[in-house]
Amino acid sequence: MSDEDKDYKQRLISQLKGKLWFCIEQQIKKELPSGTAYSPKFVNALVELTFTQLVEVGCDLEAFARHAGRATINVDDMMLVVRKSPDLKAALEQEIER
Amino acid sequence: MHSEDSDYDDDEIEDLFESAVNRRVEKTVSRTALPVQRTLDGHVLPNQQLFYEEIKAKTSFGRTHHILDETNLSTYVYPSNFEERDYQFEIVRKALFENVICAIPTGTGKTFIASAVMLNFFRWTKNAKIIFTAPTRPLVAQQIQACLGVTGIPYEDTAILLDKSRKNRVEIWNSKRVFFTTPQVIENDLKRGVLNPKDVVCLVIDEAHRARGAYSYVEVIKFMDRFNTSYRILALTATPGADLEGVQEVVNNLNISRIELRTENDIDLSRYMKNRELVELDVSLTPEIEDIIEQLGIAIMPVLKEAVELGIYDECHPSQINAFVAFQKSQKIVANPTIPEGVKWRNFFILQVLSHMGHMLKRLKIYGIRTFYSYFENRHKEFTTKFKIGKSTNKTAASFYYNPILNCIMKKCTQLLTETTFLSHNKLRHVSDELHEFFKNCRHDSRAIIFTELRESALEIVKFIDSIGQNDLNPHIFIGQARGKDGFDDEDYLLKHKPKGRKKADRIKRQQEGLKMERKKKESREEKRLERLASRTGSSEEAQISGMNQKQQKDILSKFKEGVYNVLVCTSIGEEGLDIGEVDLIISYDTTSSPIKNIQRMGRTGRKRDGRVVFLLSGNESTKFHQSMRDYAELQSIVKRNFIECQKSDRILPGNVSPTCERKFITVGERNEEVNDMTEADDVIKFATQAMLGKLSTKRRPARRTNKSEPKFEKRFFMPDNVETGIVKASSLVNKATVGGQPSAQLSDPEVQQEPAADDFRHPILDDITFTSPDISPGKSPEEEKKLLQSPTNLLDALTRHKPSLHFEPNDLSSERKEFSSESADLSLKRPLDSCTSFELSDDLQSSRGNAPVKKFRHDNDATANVPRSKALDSTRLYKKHFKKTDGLLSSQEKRYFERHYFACSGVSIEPIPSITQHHRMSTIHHSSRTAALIEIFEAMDQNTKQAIQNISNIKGIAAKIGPLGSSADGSIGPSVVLVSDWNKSEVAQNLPNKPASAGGWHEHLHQNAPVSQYKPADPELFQLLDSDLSDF
Repeated sequence: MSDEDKDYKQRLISQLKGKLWFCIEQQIKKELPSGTAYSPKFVNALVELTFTQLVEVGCDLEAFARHAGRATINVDDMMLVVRKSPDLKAALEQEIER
Repeated sequence: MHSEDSDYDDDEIEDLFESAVNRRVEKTVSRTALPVQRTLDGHVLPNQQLFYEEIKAKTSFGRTHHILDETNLSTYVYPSNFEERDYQFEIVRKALFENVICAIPTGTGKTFIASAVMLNFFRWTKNAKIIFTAPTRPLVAQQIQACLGVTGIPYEDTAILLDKSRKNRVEIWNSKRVFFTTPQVIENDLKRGVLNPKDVVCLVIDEAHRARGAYSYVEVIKFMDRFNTSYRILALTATPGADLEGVQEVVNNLNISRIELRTENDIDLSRYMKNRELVELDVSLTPEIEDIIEQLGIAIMPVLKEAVELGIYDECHPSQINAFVAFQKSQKIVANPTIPEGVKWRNFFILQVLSHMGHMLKRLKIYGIRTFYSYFENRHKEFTTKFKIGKSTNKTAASFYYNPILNCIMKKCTQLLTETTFLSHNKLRHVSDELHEFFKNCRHDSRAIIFTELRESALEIVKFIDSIGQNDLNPHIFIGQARGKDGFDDEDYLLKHKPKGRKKADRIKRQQEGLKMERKKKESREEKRLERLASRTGSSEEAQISGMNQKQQKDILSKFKEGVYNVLVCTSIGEEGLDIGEVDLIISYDTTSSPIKNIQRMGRTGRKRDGRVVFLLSGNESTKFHQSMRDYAELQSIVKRNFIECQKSDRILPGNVSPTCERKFITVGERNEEVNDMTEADDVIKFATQAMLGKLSTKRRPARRTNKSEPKFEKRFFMPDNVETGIVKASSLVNKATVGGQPSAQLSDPEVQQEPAADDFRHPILDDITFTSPDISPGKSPEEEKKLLQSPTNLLDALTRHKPSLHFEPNDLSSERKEFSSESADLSLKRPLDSCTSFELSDDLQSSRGNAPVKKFRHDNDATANVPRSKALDSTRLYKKHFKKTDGLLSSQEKRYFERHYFACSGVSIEPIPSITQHHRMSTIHHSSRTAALIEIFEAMDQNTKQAIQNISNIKGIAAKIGPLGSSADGSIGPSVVLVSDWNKSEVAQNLPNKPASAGGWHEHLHQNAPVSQYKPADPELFQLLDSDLSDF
């Protein structure tokens, strides 16, 4: 991997994390009772966790798709990822129906 | 030690046997290591094969113990009384020098081959015995006639031993040379010690395919092998086996070293084969049979269903239920201990019903309604009676036997069977057609044989043929001697299982009832018997019920030969060895999947003239038949290609004698001629027996009279050669172990005297040995000497293995006593070389007895020379110690002995303790990338590094830029899913509840704020991707 790629990747990651931060902070604001304070460090930890999890899910998805002989990831792969968490599955199914 | 161990283990006893007989087997075992599985610390896991072993056995035989007739050895006689056939000539030539199994089709002159071989062994040996064995009496009779007719061996020298002539066996065995008998007789006589196994020189085995398992043939050979290897085996058969394993087993059991197989298609044989026309008729089932099958199917359905549900029988059409399969499965269930008893027996009974059903179907399809019905009725009666009185509570079976449809079947059957013209199977029609055709066109002395497996069926056929009403057809049944099975007797059963009365009166009443019933039964039986006798086929019926004893069988056969009966309906008893030349038609009413049986059946015709064989096939018999015949052809081709492993056999004749063939017309003696004219097996047996007992000769032997007064024959125990017999005292065995050494010799050796007693007699013994073994004794030829001179190098090799140990000791010494350590070490190091080279050279020609002391003294000198240099030490102690060290090595005499008898690899070598250093192998198993990342996160959380804080604020900054826009577009931001797959083709899919417009906006925003977030669109492709993905939503 060339330096340029690395650099590019680094920036992309920070962009994505930034987006994630934003989403998560929104969520935190919404969920927490008003007035509860939270540190940026806490948010950061949450972001990192989520990010790691998402990377994992992404790798899985890709592997599933490749295993099925497809080049693109589709809904089936996602359902396979969430096969062990019924709640999530139900939610996603609802989403699909919509 | 000197003495031999008196208690042998099994191997040694086996060896004794082996060495006692005339055979020497050299085995070379080559082992190749196989890769094995090991535990982590390097131990081999148990239950693994460590090596692959290849055993090559080389068998050689010593001189035979039989007394050979030297004058006849130069030739072997080949009888030219008959037309010479190439294959016979070939086989005879081979069978004279090797154990041969001769598998040629029926009716091609196996007996001739046997006769020729027997004749030559008769000529070659002076008093050895020649035995011909065949499994049954009629076969023996047949062969005795044929053999003696060909060979002209005088009857005075032959004996026929069948069970009856038990009285003076010993005398017979001793006085005669050629024996015709059954294997059972031989087995008994061998075991009783009447027949000496060492006397036998030739053993002919007819119908050799029976030599499997524990049949007498096998036992006889096994017994003989222990005492005698010098005998020829000639095995004769038409069918060596049904499969390859079978053939191999026969070959192994009979020590066969060559297989001579000819099939009907072989050119050298087909010339002599009579033409045999094979016809297969596919017989369809009659509509009545099909009806019954269907109805039975309906009745059995619930049982079958239950069985399928329980998983104990495979699903199939009810008409395909197989009795054998069901029986096998039920056996398996019974044998399985893990099934609880209740379940086991329920399953067993279900399968039993299915098995009965299978039998019914088989009888229906193959043999016809009558046979079926008798079986069915029997089963039905048995079950219903038992069920009624509560002896059986089998619901499943009840559901079958009480099925209303069965009544229908029974009614129909009884009705059909009462009709006189009713044909219970289409096969019968074919039988009648064939017979009609046959007897119309054939010579009147022609005969036909019909084969069937079941006696009932045989009887039915007899009755049917009789009912055709043609006068020229005279059928009779031909079956074995076992009594026919009684059907189930319900009255008897009921009586037996009636509640037993408690009072005496009850008991008496019961008894009386029983008696009355018995009487009644007897009467009715008698009545029936008379009835049967009245009918034309009476004797067949009678036979079917009570079986035929050997006398009856012979009677029937002779009548068949005479022509009183011209159709014989046989069960399997007639399949083997019946040699009736005039049989021109064989009808196989059923077929078996055994090719041997089929071929033997075919072999009953085409013996003297062309014949015709008809197979009646119905149901699945056709496929079964073809399959078996195909398999058999396959087998024959395999056997021909030498896939069978054979053993080497004794040539018996000395290796330098190779007889040439002498074709000779055998003039058969007058008396033998007489026998040849006999047609009756019984006559032959009688004649032979008389001849054997010497009754034919005019003078009666007075010996027989005196024989009786002689003391009873003592049992002989046959022992291998060179065996000490009798009782040996244990004490005498013990005495052998003590060494009667020469005390004077020992005393003359002062050094030795000082040694511990245990070592005392070792030297004298070895000296003795060296003297007694011839090639080391002083008077050597120069050649041997040279060899000896060269040999030390070998020893050197051997000793190099010991070197480490030698090396070790001096080191010990040196650490303690520095002064002379180097020298002593030197000395002891050199010793092995010294003693085996220089001493060898110098002392060799000296008397070996003088050798040892001389050498020892030299070392004494060496040692004493060393002593003064080591001042501080107790001189005598040291002296002794030192002396012992060198003395532990072998003297040159001993060395030579050692060298001759031991190999480096068989010796024990003492090696220094290997230095084993322990290594610990450490390795870490890496975390998965995800776990690693998580750990990193949590570690980073506690550390307030500058970098981390910068990163956080950086990302936060990016988020802040996005923030207002996202929130302004949509008040709340729902759960978002960001999928990040492989970095190279990063795909970002956002499932924000945002409108596409706002997404696009975000995108623009990114662009605008690029400097703030240090984001530069280095890759336009990515943005395209982002664009397209985002615009999708």
